[in-house]
Amino acid sequence: MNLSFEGHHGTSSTSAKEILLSNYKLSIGHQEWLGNGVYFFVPGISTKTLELAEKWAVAQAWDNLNKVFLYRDYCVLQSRIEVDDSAFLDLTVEDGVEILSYLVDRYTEKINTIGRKMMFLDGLLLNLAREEGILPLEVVKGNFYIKFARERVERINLRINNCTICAVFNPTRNITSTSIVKTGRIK
Amino acid sequence: MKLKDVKEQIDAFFDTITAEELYAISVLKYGFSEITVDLENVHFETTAVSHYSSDTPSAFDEQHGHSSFGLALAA
Repeated sequence: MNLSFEGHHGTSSTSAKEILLSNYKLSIGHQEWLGNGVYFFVPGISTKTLELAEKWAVAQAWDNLNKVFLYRDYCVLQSRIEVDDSAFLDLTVEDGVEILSYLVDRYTEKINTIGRKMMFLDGLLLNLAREEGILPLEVVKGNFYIKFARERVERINLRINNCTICAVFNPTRNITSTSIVKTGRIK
Repeated sequence: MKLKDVKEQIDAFFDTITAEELYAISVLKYGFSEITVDLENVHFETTAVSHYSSDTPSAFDEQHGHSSFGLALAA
């Protein structure tokens, strides 16, 4: 593993304890930015990754449908992520974007031959690339605009990215240590 | 990871799989949605949208090629 960096993950205290006992579980679903995986704020556009993870934990606590907090006690976990360069797709740099663009080109070229037009989501394409063995993806990094509590309450929808996140697809392999670095309570 | 290191793998996959197979796994296994709205035949009567008539070369219609792109821009 020739790349190593730290990431921060915000979640409820209950989930944090479970993670420490039995490791992370993948977030799965079509709305995941970089596909199925465990998500971390990592240094990039912002270096304040602990603060971002804390804001995320607070934002995720609110159940907007039922207007209740799902949890009030939260934690920020700090994990060491290690990966070989050959299994790391960095979408914050030209080399990475070039790969994604080529993947899209080949995909559309093929699917258009039968007159189909698909709606693209980065995460779905990355899931396909990884699970079909097209790319040896273990960790993917990208810049995104993420809405935290303030952005959600005040309807702030910018297009400019505000953080860098990474998704780890196999936490057992690529996360070498995890510890709680901050706890808090939503009042 | 750089394109030169993975291009062969990407090409091998897309050269091998059929379009029908790719469509099937995209939808059934990975949850892709298909764009089913035909923009050429959408009815705009209920919206305040101005649009080219059906016989106007469209800048976005690939069948007209680059020359019509220029025409549409100039129109």
